[in-house]
Amino acid sequence: MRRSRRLPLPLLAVLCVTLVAGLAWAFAVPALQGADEGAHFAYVQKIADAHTVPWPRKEYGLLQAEFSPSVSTEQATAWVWAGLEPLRGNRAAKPLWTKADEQIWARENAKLTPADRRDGQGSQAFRNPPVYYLSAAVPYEIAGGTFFDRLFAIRVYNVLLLLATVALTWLLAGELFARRREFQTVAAAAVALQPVLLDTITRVTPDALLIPLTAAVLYLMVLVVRRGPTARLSALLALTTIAACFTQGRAIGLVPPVLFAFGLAFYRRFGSSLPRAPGRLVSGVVWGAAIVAVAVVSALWATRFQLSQVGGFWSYLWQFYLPKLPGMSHPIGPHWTATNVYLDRFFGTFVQFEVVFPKTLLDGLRLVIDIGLIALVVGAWRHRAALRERRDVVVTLLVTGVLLMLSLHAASFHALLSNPADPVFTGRYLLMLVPLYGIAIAAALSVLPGRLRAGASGAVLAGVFLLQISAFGLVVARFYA
Amino acid sequence: MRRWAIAIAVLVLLVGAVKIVRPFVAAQRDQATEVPSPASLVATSTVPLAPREPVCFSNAVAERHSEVIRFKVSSPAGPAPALRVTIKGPGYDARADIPAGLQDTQMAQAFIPAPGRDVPVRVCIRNEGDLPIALFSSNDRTRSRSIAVIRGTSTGKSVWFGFYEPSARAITERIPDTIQRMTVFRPHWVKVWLLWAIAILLLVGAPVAVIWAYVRSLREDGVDDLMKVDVARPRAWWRRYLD
Repeated sequence: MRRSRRLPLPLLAVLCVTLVAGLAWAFAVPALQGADEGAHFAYVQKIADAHTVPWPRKEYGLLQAEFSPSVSTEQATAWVWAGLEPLRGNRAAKPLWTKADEQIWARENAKLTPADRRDGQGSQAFRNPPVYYLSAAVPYEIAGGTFFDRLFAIRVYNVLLLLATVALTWLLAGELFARRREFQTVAAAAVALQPVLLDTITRVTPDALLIPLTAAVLYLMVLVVRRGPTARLSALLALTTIAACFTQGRAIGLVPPVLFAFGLAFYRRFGSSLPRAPGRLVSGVVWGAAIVAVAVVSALWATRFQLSQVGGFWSYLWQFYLPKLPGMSHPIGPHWTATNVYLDRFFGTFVQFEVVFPKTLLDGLRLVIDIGLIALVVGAWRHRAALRERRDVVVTLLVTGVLLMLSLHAASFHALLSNPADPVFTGRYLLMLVPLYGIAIAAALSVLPGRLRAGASGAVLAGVFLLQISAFGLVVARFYA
Repeated sequence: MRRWAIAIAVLVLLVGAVKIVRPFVAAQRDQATEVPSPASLVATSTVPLAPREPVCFSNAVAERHSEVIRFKVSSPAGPAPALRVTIKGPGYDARADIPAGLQDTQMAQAFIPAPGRDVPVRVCIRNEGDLPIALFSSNDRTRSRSIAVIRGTSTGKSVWFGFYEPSARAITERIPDTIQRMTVFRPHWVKVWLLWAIAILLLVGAPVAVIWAYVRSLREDGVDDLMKVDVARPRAWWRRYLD
């Protein structure tokens, strides 16, 4: 069926919901309460006010982010006089919330000079690549005004990035579900109402740009595989991937999947000149070699090229997802498993980790996820003919998921070797693949027939809304009740 | 199909409203009206409170609903002596006496008259007895702008101190105040009316819009159970719920 080129109304409705939810999260949470938000704001301020891009000057005298000289005097003044630092992660604290409080801060803030915006020495965040911070400097400059005017202007800019993420999920779902509006709507709405996504993206953080860029990479990979590696698509995919890599280091994990997508697209375009049987053999050998290469390179990098640790890495990886086998030693670092990352942190941990969903809710969520995963497998079997037709896309997205997860685990293990106390792998990192979360929900629902699917979809959409509003309510209660 | 989607979604939302939202908003919570200096996160410190000596701090605000003050006493040598708290600000002068007998690490609590408006105040806590005690305070990153001063000398610490309402309340009882509070330390264009609009759109508009989007998408796909039903073909009763 030929579609109109205007913006589809279901998408428009979902984008309106995204805008409202995004603004609600952006304004309800007091300034600098996101993970390292002060450090990221300091980076933007360095660019906008000191006209300096800190990256990649490694010799920069970086400080701990909690140490006030790491940020500008202006921000440090807000830490103390607006009560933001005592509030951070501290359930005993409430925001200072009267106009009289604002006047006390304004009195101190008025003593500052323009130089007090430029003097932040920087923290570990200054090691991040600069693309997000450069882009955030635009709303920062446009807003002008007080410290809070500029900070919340960046948060509103991030809400626009959230809209882009939802729109890209819609497009990606369109490619996978043959533009069935029903599944596109479910996938986009599930992403729009994912509570941790909203909590993360509405703070000053490079993740706010990394997430839509990764969604764009996923979409462009699918286009390249399906439509072939045209110059325009290839250039767009390459540029988007580079932009993602220069936004946050975690995006490096996207490079192998993108190369895979290009390889697959070129293979499909130019084909194998070998006869069928030898062609399959060659293909199998190439696949096998690629898998071994990825496994070896990941393990070597993860273990800092200490061959004695390679076994430990694979043991850590196994025990992250599966029960410990006889003969396996306890993995390095704290007890940190898939449940912590994929359930607790991906769905139910907010602000500075001091707000969490109750265990009963997470248990219920786990049950729903288990049912959904079973439905996904059944759906894959039921729609195997359609999947076979789109096998290139499906394989590309699966490979992307696996390789990205592998890269995150490798980075985690790499870091654990120097600091065994911090697992460096949290649910926020999974948000790079949040469009696949929405698509998985739509795919799981697709297994159901007719009315049952409509009813289940209605239930799921109402459920994700309740999840969203529960998270928002907990966060509002943490700060204001 | 569309009716099914709407009916089930409304059912789930109603169940959620009754089972999740209502208990949450109806729960009676201890209501802080302003916490000038919160408890610390990592390191606990104390400020000495010598006999007949006051500890004072400024840059606190007594919010208009404040009728209770709380702070924490360290008195390892025995029950704490009587304490006197004076709170002074423009047009506001309150005094609260806490009788002797507080145990070590016990929370001191006293009633004060509600200021009726938000007033920046200076708070002094005086030891009325002969036993030296101390007040719990923060010296880590949770240290506030209200630094405790003894005899004109800064201690470099902030005494844990908060203003509260006299009784627990539900979130819903303070919605207008909560919205008002969300405009503080925000850009000048974040007004009360804007936050009201966002709140109503989020709570009412968002679920309606999401369900409407789904129903509309079914329509755009041309999927409708009535269109697909072959009335000439007999079907088992359960089929009617699946096809």
